[in-house]
Amino acid sequence: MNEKDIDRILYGDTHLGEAIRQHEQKQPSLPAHLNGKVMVQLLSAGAHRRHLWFWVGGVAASLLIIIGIGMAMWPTSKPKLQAKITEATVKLPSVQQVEQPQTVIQAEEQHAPSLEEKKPAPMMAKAIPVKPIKKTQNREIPDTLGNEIWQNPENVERALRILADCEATILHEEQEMRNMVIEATFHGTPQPANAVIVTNEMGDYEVIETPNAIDI
Amino acid sequence: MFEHCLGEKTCMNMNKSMKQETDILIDQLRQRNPAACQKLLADYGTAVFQMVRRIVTVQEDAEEVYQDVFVKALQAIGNFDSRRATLATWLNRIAYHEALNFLRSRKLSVVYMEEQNDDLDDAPDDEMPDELTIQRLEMALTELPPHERTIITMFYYDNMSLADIAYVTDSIPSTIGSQLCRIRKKLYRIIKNMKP
Repeated sequence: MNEKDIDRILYGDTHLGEAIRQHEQKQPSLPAHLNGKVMVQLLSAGAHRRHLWFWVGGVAASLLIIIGIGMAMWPTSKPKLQAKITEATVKLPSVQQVEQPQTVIQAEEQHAPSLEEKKPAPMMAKAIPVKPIKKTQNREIPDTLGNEIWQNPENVERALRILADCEATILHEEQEMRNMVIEATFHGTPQPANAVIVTNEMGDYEVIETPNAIDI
Repeated sequence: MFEHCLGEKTCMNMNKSMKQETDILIDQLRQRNPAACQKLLADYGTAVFQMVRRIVTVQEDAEEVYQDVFVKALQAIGNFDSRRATLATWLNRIAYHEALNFLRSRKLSVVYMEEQNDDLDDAPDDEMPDELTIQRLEMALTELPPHERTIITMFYYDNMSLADIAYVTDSIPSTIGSQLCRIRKKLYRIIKNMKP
């Protein structure tokens, strides 16, 4: 069936045309109040679009600021540190007799200049006793270890190197011994005012200076 | 007839000026001019409401859809291309689809299967008086699915071309022609089955 036939059939049907016309005339007309409601909606939709852009811009700017702050505050790869606030004159328990002498420190002690001649650092007002150490195997602790050794910078340097290898020389679980060595090292070196030792569970530590006592 | 009375040139000038007015209106609508919005509602509101009402028969729902049509039209006015269709046809297209979408969202529409009957030239019953035929056809219109009723009304009442109806319904003119014949045949089948 071609277009002409369709036109003939459709346009020729006056009954259907009249029926549709009568049907449409019976339908309700546009309510008078409706266009007013639509106008309110159209105008508020335009304002909404403008406000929407303000919101979008504000959210985007906030996100950028948050990302920037986050990147600036991105933590280093260092493990979580635990701060230990120490005072300049902390008293440690006296050292007890130990079995295994530490050859390295003994050697240093032999060749070290007279310790008594060296004056302690200004912060060092008192001798610091060393905590008693438990007996364990493979422990490298000199039996002649005394507080005086920390007055020698070379001993301190040696102790720092040993401390850096504390995985091998001090067992990881023996936190007490590790802390003791750290403290002794700390007190053996000149410290700034309000110094804080920050250590981690691996024995790494560093001394930082703070204006106030803080908890990290 | 209008052309014969006024002459072809006058009609062309009038069409040109109307097109210019419509272009100005569209430009103002793109700038969200409130006066342009009011003019849009005044000039095209009735036709849009009729289109919506053919599909959404509940008055409150039709009013809601009517508002949505113009909100959507204003949002999409930047995409309107006057070369493809007139503003009225474009608005009718939005109204048609918004109304159908409304029915679908409310799960009120029913999918109608197109009947596979080859005889499209089903002549009306000549023995029936004209008035009775018209009355029954009018009743039969209410039994049509909304989209079929809308298509046949656009053709007979709005005097839209097959091309315009195809644009509104997102179809092609030849399909619309076939659909119109089928709808017409369905109507006459309905009135034949009506009790006297």
